[in-house]
Amino acid sequence: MKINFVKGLLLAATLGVGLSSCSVATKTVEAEVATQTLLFEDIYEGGNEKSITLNVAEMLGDVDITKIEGATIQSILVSKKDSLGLSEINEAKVQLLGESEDLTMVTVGVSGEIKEGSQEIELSILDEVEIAKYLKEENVTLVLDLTYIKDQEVPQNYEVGIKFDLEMNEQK
Amino acid sequence: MRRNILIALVALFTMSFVSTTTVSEEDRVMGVWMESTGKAKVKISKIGSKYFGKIVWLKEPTDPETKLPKTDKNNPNAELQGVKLKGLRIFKDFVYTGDGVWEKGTIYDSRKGKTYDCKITMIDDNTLEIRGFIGISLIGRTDTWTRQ
Repeated sequence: MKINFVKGLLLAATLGVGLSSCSVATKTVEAEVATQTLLFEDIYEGGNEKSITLNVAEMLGDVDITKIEGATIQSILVSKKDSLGLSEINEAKVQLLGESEDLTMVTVGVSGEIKEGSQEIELSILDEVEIAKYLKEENVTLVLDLTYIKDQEVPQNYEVGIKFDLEMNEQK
Repeated sequence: MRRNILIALVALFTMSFVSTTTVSEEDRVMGVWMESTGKAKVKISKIGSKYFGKIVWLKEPTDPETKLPKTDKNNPNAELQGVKLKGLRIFKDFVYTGDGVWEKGTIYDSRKGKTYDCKITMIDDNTLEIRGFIGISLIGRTDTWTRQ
């Protein structure tokens, strides 16, 4: 009986050591995407959209994409640096779209109320939106939706800055 | 000789005009469409290789209770309930599969806060058949939309 107990302990200890040596060590790193400028033209009252397709490797710079285990958005900043600022819109949303058919468009950030006179707004990031699979594609499309209060004849430039939290596999 | 050159130039001009104004088979779905109840208009556009549609007009844009623009208050994700209905993307991720059919996408019913699989069939240049379903296309509901 005592021998069986000792055997059980040894087995458990061996399994524990084995599992811990197999587990993947990860660390979280922050990656900031270079600010993207999106030009809105033919603007009408209501929802307008502009998209830009980015090469993921170029977008993330030094990050080794093959080691990404998980990814979430840390922050999204939408800005318009002119005298009118964001006064012409009352809502902003950012979506990601993958290249493959399996990767559906996912909303990652939405604005709350846009304060009068502001030139930039930090979007509320949606919880639990896992985007690692989007960053493992060659390209990812960023879609900016803006809701305009009224039609605009003059094209408008908006800037979008995004920071990711990347969970990286440290195993060599 | 001069007449032949003139005819060739006219033909060339006509051909280039036709080629720049012809919409490809798969892009024919793009444009503004009204649902059968006449309560909303949706603009379908292309992003990347897929098709999406967002609400661009509402017959009743204001919430009678709040007197503010209607929002997606029935969305199961509480974080999205404040998003305005006008501008909301309700068609997502459609791909053209041929014969006037766009599939593999979803339609979002903001009145119920539910998302359904969806198939879009172009009946003619001005009529779409929108079929929302769960799982298999046989069980679902079909609505007819008209081009605006």
